Amino acid sequence: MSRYIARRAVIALLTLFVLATATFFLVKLLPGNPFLNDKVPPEIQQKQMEYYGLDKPVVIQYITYLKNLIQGDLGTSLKYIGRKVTDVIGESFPTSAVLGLIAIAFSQLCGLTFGILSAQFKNRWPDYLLMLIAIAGVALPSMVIGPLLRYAFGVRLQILPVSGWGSWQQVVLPAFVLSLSNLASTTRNMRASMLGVTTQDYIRTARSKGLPPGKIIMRHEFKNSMIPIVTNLGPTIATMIMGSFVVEQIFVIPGLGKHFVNAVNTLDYPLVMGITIFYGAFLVTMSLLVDIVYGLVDPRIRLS
Amino acid sequence: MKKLLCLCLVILLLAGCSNSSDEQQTPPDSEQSSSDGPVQKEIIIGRNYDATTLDVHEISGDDSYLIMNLMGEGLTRNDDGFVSPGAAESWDVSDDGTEYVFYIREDARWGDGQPLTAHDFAYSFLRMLDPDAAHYAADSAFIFKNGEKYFNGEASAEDVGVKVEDEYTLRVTLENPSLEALYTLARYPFFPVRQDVVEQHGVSYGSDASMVVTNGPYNLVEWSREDRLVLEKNEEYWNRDAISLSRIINKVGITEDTAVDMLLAGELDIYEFLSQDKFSPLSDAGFHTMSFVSGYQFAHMNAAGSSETARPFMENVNFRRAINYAVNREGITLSVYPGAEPATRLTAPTTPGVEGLFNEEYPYEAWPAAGDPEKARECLNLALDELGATLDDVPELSLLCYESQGSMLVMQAIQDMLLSTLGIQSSIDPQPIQQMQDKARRGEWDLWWGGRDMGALDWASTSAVALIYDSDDTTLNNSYQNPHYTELYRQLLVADTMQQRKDLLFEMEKELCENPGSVLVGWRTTWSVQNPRVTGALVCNDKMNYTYADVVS
Repeated sequence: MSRYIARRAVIALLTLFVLATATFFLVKLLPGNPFLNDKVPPEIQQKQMEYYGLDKPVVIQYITYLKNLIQGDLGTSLKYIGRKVTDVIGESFPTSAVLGLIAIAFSQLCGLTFGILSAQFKNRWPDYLLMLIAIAGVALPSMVIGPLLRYAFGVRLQILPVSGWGSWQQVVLPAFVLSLSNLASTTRNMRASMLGVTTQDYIRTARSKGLPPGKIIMRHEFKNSMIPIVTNLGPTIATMIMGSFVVEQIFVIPGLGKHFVNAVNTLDYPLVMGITIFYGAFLVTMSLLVDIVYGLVDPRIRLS
Repeated sequence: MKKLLCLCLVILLLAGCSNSSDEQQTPPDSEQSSSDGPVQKEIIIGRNYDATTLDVHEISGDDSYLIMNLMGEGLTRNDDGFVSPGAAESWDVSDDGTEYVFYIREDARWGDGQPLTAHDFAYSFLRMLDPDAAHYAADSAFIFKNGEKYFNGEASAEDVGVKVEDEYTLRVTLENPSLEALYTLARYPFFPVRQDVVEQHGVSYGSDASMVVTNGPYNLVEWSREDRLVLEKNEEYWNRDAISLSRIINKVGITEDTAVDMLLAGELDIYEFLSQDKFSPLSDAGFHTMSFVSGYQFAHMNAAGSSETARPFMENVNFRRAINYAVNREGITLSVYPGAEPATRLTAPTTPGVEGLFNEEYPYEAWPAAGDPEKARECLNLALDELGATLDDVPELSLLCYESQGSMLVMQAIQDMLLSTLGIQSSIDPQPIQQMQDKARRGEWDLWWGGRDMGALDWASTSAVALIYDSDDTTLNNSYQNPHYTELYRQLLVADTMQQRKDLLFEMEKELCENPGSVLVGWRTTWSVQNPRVTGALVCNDKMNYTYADVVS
């Protein structure tokens, strides 16, 4: 197991290196420069470029960047003058993380439950109802559902706040909207998985042994159905936590997603690089964690 | 194992909900009155963009200046379109307009209680020009004598025209006699910065509430990035009695659609909209609006011409008038800039008059919105007569613009109008920004399309007159000169009554309409939508001024 982890760690570092390099050069290819501003004379723009070292050859900039990166210095933002990239990420990431975790928890809880129920009541009305919910969750974009719910609950009914972050009431709507698509896909996957598992020999054995149906479902069918779900869990958690830009904008939540898009638009090179590498590292770590959990969930994988 | 996972998730859930900052959940119309103090009044302003820095010398035209305007104060103030005393309680101007002596009030204080002196201003103005620092605001300080030379390393700091005469007296010498200096000095790049705070924080100065000290009506107490900025009344401010609010909360990251819901739910008091149709549900709900012109679109005319053959024509007043009358502004705004209002004169629709609106007190239509082809041809014929030339002698005019879709469309429209109305040939010259500015500087253009935020002209009463005759403008080649206009403006600055000022403004406007240096096409409007409980907001030319706002129960 530890050899496995060590091997995966090396691959992770290599992946991050490739990611950093690719992003660095791609971002430099974008037209314009961060200081382009028709209210500021070119001489001053030029001085700014020199001050931040952006006038040096690209390869030199790259090497400087890598040197700093290894020491853990992600640089200073060009847009938020004087702010370190690590501070910007550090301030906004926890918000996105909490929102993402709550959304995941909700979507998994509901998704798994709906999936199990759907499979049990296959082709009867509960199944159809839950499948309808699943399709709606995937089909309706968050930029439609979000403002709709915000208006309904925040303006009309006035039972939930429209925006902001900090109290539990402010978590409800954004977490719900963020969780919808994952809830839908989890429901469908769980349903399909459960239906596949039900026909297996060992389930028939359990039934013929006389085990109560509840125990069969929860102890045997559920655990075995989890594998496809857990496979998807890693990237899903990473994406949800890194911030859904749309949800954060609709509900005015100060998370990381907004920084990501703004940084690209304003050509804030250090921030773009910083967030990309952070995202990459996070994704890679989540994949590794999931693979470990895989081994815990399914002994067959552990032993091989 | 599963149970452990569930437990972990639940703990995280609870942890996430409780460790965040206090969120004010009560709608803002609840005034909290403490038992032994004055009533606490606060308003919540919504904005789309966060500030990027609170170092006045690094603000580069983004929304940071809107916050800064509440936090700092220059030698002079511009609250509602006219200069009033700021940190300086009075000043003397020399006859030739190059020397100003400012007398700083002795009870002026920084937000932390330290006295504000002439040294602070001298330090700040010189810091702006620091050759090693490349501050964004450096070129603003080129108005000072030898400012640009010092920035380029051709002069020393002692040569710059900013001198401390004593603790509370500052002598400023300008590079050129400037009629707009008092308005320019009221703007944020000329707010003072505290030397010890700047040196303490270095590069991080202005990047957080704890890393900046200001001298204006409000102090910044909290800045959560992409979330909010919280300002509290500065009890050390010399004019604190005029400030009614105790707190202003700026929430950022709010788009127009979200703002509508937030205003209706009471989570915002004020938001500024760019399009009128977005906020119609708010007008129905009783919110009131104040509108101001936030920008304008125009084509410069190069009175020196793009070449020696073009010069005699572009120099001729009637020739430029012909171009002015030939342009169909209605058509251009409708097709290229819907939502903009076509201009029929040079003063913005929201310009304040003596008691009401300037445009109502001094009605004037300099040209019809759809243009006046007949008058255009008349002027052209006059010009040709004066020059002893014929239509065939008129060279092909060069229409310079940025290579964006919108700009090129406008220039095509103008090209078409010039040809069909006047028979004048022209060619469009789209360029990327750097090249466009270079060409403009070298004068290789006859017409040059541009859009500006109103803030680009900081001289108040005339910022409403979008002439673009700005002797401080470093991107123009100053080909247009109008001594009569200059004389009128000089008189305006020393006028005693509002009536005199507005009369002179009207004369100036007519002068520029009859002898045009540019073709003004349209106005861009912004609307400040406010909760009915908010009063005291002012329109200050191109922006709102919430300094003196108040709330009524």
